[in-house]
Amino acid sequence: MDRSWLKAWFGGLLLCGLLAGGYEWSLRERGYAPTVQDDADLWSIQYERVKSSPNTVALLGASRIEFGIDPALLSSDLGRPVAMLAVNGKYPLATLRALSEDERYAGLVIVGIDARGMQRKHWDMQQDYLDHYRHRWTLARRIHRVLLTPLQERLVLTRSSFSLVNLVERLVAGDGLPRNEHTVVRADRAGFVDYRHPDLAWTHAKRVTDLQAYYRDNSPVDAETWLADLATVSQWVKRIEGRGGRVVFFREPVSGESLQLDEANFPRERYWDAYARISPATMIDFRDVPELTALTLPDTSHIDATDVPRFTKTLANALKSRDLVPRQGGKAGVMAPLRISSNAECRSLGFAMPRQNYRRKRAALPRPLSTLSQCRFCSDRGLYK
Amino acid sequence: MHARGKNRMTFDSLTFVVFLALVYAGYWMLRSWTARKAFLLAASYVFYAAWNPLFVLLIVATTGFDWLAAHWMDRSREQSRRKLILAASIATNLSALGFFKYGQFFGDSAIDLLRVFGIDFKPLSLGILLPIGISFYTFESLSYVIDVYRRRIAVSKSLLDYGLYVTFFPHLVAGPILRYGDFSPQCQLAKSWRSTHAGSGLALFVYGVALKVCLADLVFAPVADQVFGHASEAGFADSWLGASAFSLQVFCDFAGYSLCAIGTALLFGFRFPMNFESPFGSLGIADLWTRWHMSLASWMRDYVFTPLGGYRKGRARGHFNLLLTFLAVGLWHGAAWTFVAWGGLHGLFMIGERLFRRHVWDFGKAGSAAAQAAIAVVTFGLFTIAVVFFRASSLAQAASLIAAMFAPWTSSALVAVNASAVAVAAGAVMIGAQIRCRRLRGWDWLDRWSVAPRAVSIALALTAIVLSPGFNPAFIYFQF
Repeated sequence: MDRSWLKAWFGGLLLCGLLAGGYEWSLRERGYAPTVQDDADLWSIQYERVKSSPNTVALLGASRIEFGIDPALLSSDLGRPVAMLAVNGKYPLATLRALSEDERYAGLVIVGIDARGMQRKHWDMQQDYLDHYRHRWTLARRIHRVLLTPLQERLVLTRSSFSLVNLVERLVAGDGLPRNEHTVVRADRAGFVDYRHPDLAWTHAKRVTDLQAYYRDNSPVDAETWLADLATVSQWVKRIEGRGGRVVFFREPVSGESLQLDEANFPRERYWDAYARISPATMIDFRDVPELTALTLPDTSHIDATDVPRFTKTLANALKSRDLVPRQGGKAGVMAPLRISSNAECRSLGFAMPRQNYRRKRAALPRPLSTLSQCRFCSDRGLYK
Repeated sequence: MHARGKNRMTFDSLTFVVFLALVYAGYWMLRSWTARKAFLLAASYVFYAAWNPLFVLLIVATTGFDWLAAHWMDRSREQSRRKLILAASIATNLSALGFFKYGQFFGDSAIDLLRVFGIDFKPLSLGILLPIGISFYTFESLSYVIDVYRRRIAVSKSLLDYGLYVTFFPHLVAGPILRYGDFSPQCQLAKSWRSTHAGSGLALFVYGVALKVCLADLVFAPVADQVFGHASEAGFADSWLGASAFSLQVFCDFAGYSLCAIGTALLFGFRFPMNFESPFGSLGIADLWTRWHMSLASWMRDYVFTPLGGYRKGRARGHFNLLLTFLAVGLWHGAAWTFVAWGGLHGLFMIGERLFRRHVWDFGKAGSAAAQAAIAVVTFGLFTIAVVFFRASSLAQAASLIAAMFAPWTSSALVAVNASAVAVAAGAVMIGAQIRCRRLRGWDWLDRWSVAPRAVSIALALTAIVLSPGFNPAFIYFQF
């Protein structure tokens, strides 16, 4: 056996390990942390959950939801699976439309949005994600993404902004290392922003400047047209609710200059409240929930990572207090009972167990099961009777 | 490594790494040679099914049909009957290719033509999906039946061997285009595991991935995309920069893919022909086509140019045959007039070069290194002018960009200075290296390297891959 290739590969791997390890170490020394790279593939994994389990709670929205709500916490609070479908920088109505067109979907949809995002011109912002799911999301892609995620969770150098080419280009331009955004995204697409960093003033100023620039370049549509356009959105809501689902439009907390600018351009009374009076959806403005107005928004628009549990809990309570989710041990309120179409799905909710063990374990079932009067998989076999 | 562009099981995806590891382990664990080949064939169908499971049926059907056709042809003693079977096989293969690849194109072209005569039809949308790799495996099937007809090769006794020839996953979707005469002997003898095959195969694979993910996707593609995305605004320097970046991108992308394919095949003990050998070190366009996509160029020479008569029927007819062959090369690349124009331009370059070398200066005999380097740079320039048609979305866009390439007084600032600087530096190194290494053919010299340069080259390639977590689009040649 020729050992020269073995030696070459050993040497090559060692040298590569040293180079990459050194790079990783130097990035961590500069305060960068590993994070999952959020993209359409990661989104598709979440969307797949909604498609396979039609009672999943769908979290729609943009950055305020993605970097504000912890889906795992919300799921344990509501007793049902939650899919994070919010996309940073993209208003969510395209996804709401897609859910309304999905004849199987009958879950709770929480749409984090404001009057600006409800303008017709912003409806298609997430369409590219849906197109990605429909046309490019395959098993091969899923496997790649699933293998890539643990690497991204552990290594800073897997972030595209730290690619060798990007770094060389930045050095040529004299830009130095990329700005540390102090954000971490988890595999379930929950994002966390750490605002306890020295760049806070810059972040705050940029947020406000960007919003000012937006309103300077985009005059708001008049309230009548805005309301008339939303008749279509109401149809989507009715379609979901007709199948037993619920839709909540949730105006997330903003403060300071962001709130002033939003109010100046989309006064609550003429836009949000006007639609709330005619909308088939439930509408929650953060100002109507005292705990939400008490949250601190360091950049006037997003919460700090440490406030995510509080924000999530408050939202869960707001939903429960409005009878939008089944109460523990009680009736499902106005929402249709949970419908489960497969054993796998049933198990994914934490309620099911192997068929043969069912009777033996029945006594030990978790409490929310008492609300699952229509678990098709189980009730078809008389297991819940 | 990022997730974009991985909807198929591409060589630079983690999915492929897992697939390769499983197939490699399974292959070498089996003891029977027939079982190994059957296992490779099954794995190849799984690989193809990752693109579109339905099209596995198409490839199985064409494989079976061509294998049977060759057998009938071989058994038949009447020449007319042999000819008939050959015609049926060619017609079947080309019909499948024509339907899936060119159906929409010819339909649209016919509608455009009718519009010229004042007859207005609404464009048809046939909604035909292109089976990936159809251009490659159709040409392999055609070469097999034609070679059997010409009695250049013996008919395949084994459907398994023939199926593996058509479907073997490393070359299935983007070549190199194999010949049964080269592949068949490799199916006869059982392979034994060799460390040189494993070591060099894996090395070629990582070199190929590095070319693709680091240079093609991160260095050259953004520059080319920026210029071609704003072609109408491009000035002189930007148009040359964008077109040159695309030339280098296609090279890194396709040569990278070919290296991966050759390396992967070597892991299983199979040798594939080279597909690229320092094409940007070429002295003239004719030389370039002996170094660029070599398996296609030789296929076109053997099955189109030579049967048309080559230069055997006079110079004028030869020039015509050459032009016709390159128009076919263009059309093979894609169902669009831009590809036909690209092929046609290469044909004209070839004819012009023959005339120039005959009547003005036979630059192939240039002795000095400086003169050779200058000729190579001019060749690259001609290739780059033509490649505009390859990348442009329409003939009008190509014309606008080429006009800018010949208008030194125009200027624009489409590409950021830092991105241009990196692309120009990388391009200069790559062209310089190819000019310097133009005499090296094949990859056998890799085995002659000592341990240190091998280790350094592997380390550099691996580091380039690890530190290239960009947005990787699919390999360009998958669309053909």
